[in-house]
Amino acid sequence: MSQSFIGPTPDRRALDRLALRAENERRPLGAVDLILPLGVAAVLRIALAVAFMGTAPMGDEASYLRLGGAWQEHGTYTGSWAPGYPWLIGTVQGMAGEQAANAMRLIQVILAIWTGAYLARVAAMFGGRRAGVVAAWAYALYLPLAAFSAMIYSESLFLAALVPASYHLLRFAREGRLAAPWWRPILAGGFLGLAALTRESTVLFLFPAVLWTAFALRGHPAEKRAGGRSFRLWAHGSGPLGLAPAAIVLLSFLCVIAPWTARNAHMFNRLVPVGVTAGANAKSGWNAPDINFDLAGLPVAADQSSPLAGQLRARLRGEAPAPWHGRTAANRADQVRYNVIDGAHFIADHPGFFLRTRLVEFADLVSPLSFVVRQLRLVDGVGEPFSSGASRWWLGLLTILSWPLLVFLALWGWATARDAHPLRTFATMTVLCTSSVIFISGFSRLRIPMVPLLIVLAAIALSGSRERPSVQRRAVASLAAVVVVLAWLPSLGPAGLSLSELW
Amino acid sequence: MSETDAPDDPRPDEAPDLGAPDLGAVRRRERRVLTILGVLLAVGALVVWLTIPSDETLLERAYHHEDPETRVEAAQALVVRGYWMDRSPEEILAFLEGVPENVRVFLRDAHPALARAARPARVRREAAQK
Repeated sequence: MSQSFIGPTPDRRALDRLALRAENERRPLGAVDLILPLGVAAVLRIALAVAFMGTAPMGDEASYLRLGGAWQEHGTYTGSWAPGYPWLIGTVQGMAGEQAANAMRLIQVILAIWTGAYLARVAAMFGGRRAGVVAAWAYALYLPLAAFSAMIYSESLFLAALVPASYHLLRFAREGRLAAPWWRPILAGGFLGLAALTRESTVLFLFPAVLWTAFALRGHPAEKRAGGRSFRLWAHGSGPLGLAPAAIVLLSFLCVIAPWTARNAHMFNRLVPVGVTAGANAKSGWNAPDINFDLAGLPVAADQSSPLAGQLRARLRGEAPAPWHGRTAANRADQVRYNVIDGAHFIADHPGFFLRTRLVEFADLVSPLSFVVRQLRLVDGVGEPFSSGASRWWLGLLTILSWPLLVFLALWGWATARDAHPLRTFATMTVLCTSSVIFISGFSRLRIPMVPLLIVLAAIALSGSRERPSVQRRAVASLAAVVVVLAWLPSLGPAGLSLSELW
Repeated sequence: MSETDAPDDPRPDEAPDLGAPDLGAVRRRERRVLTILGVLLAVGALVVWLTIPSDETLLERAYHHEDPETRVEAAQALVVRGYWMDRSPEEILAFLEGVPENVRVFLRDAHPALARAARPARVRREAAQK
């Protein structure tokens, strides 16, 4: 028996060999296997970053840069979003000055490579080396994600924390409670904390992830195979829930966000875990106005009766009741509570409208449109990058087509992936948590947290690590495919409109 | 058949016989990690709760603290707490004119609404001076 830092554990290497080896694996995924796909990923992202350099900041880009600049200049954060990304911008601005936006783009390329390496390791853990390599290639070429390296949005930094967190949670489930090193749940919770400091909505994912950990660590196949009778009784099926390891994940998360929560307590004199964005979200999401950020800047988009702008979308929403304007609180943290309460009253008064608008939010969430299409539309000045209609149109078209392709491949992978039980439940949980944002708002940027796992599932299916799916699994995948295809119908108009604007 | 060679075992020949595991050791290890993290969080939360500054302390810091960043932090905290919501324009004007230069620049850049709120007092004062 080897010695851990606090106590003896069974032979970890023996358990790891069983737990971490995928069925079709002859040799593990190595760094050499990833040089080419991640090299291509870097080249593509650098090309996009260079193309977007010098463009005027649009939408939230300007706000992020302003907040980062103010932090660097005055030494305090004045925004309501999670602080991670503005802090990075401020730090970079301290070094790169006015070139901060361009320096951020290059830093985001490095973050993207880090994320890609972790993503490949997740795929290799369940589908073997080939799946890891396929995942790295898919990640490299998936344009809607690649483009975030070129934009001043928090997604690159967020995924650089979320994907490692997913990797460590999945590896923890794969290794089991006995074989995993003591720091595994701490690292998983810590990365989740960093993700929350970049995007506050990670908090939605925290408690499901903790619960998943408790269940995933019950009954572990490697432990079942490895141990004696008492070992098996404890570890397989009838074993206890992994409550202690799940609690470690939770407390590690809290330890990472604690310094910022402490700062917020001093600042607001209230308990504010990360940011104060929930109030603004309630005001826009639990209200009558219709905001689809993917259609920003389209003059016809406001005209919902136009077939191009999406007549079906307008019909789904139906007649909108009068919007609420809300009360004003002195303390900004109290304003969140007021807005949430006022929004909840609006939902209670108009339940039918709320449910109909959730259908629209879901359609916007899974729409083939994406943020890069919007960004390409907004960058249209003569002499600016992508000013040629053909280049913009083709890039937009490829981007629009890549999302449906990924969804179908991922559903295929979800149904057929072999020896991938923890991955399947984890991906399901991530997709459900991500989709739950439609209860506030939905647009293509908000689906980013589920995209890496969809790439992993697609890569496992493509690499051939498949099994014959059960009837239930086939039924669920088919139903999901039908729901998503139906949800694309209201987006066909806006997608066509976006493409015609790009030309 | 050994204990590891269960009929439903997908890879029985690869299973190492590790004997009975020391489950207590794993539980003890997890308990220790939980205790360390829990104590850290509890002590941290207590310290933070006991040191939350009052509005008066923040006002004092914004005027007189030797560290310029602490002065700005204090001014920002007063704004987000809504300290100025029910204050008279004269009070706001006195604050804007009394704080050090870096706080004034910060408030002008980040919270222009504060200067707007003080404008009536400035107008009244200028009228009185004429």
